[in-house]
Amino acid sequence: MQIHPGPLGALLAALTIPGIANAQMAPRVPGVDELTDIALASLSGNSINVGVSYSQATFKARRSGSRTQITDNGSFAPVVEFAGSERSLKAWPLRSGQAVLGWNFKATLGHFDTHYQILDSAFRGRDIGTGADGWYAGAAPSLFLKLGPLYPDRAIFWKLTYGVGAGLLKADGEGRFSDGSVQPVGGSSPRLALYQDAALQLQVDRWQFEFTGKLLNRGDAERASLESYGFAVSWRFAF
Amino acid sequence: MGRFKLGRPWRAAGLALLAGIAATPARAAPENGVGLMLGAVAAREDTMNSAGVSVGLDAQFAVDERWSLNPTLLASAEQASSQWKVSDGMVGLQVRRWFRAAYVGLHAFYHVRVIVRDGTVSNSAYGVAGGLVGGYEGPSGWGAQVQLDALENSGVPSVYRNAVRAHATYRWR
Repeated sequence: MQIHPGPLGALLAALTIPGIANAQMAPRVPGVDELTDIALASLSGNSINVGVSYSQATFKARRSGSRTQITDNGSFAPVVEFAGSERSLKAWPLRSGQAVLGWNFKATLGHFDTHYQILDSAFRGRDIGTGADGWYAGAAPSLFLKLGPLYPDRAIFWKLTYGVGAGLLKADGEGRFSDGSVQPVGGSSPRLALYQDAALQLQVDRWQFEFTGKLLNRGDAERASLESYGFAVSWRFAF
Repeated sequence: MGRFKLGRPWRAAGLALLAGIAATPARAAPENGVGLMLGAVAAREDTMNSAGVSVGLDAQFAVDERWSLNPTLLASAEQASSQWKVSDGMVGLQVRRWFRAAYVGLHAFYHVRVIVRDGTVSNSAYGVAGGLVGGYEGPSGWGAQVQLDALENSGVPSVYRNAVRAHATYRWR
């Protein structure tokens, strides 16, 4: 006699054995296995997420009591992100699926080109010839709350994540400071920064739709920082 | 912080909601699905009153027959005067306690509020805040909801934004 673990058994296995979310279950039973696979997919394995975002990046710096803010007024940018296997810390059963409090490791790369000086608006800048461009990289362990699946027969999940870790921020240019002076900002080499990443995701099969916020703070004398907020669509390449 | 009083239309809406809840037939609620909210908002921040349109989306995850978790997105476009406009967007999570097809709940959210004067964003504020929500969902998926949002931090000391939203709702199950 063959004993099938059933959806509950498979769920428990997925929560307690890392990496089983990608494992092939055998033998397959039509209908039952389809639901089991969706429930198992509530914890994702390693993936590279590639897509496009529309976000507003703002570079900020302070110097002797004066500050400057330069933004891109919103722009499209590529999304390149690594997401490690999701691990459960605690799980609660839902009527369909589960709520999982867990963590995983995330890393990202990005580029920015800010050339609109924020002068008289809280968000939008004006082109007065100043600007700063560069790139950033960040890596952080992230805490998440994941709910789903939303429907029993569709792999739709809601996920809220927050991570804090280390990053590199390279920025170079010049900005107009609040005292009226125009001075160089950043430098020719990347510097270590505190990296924070928050995201609200709706995962539909391998698609991810998310509101994202990224913040990099350099602890140098200039107290330079980069903030980026926006919306992103990406595809998860699992491996 | 200014006191926030419910006006006569809001009291009537609350009574209508309670009557709707009382008349709701028993059924197994809540049910999973994506929901759409559309309605009106009235807000007060210091001496500025504004009113406008509120729209939102949520995803309902039933925990059991008594509780659900509802991640929610909401946005409003409000008019304070001919010169001043207010927009408020929020990302939050509601925890709802169900009584058959009616519910009450708590709402924790992160919001971004901007004030626009003559087309220029003159002030922005953001932060974490809380609120209360109540409503019902009928068997067809249609429903109604009232939400009270309080203490939305304005970024200005001692000045907070309070808002009341009334929504018609529909859920795809």
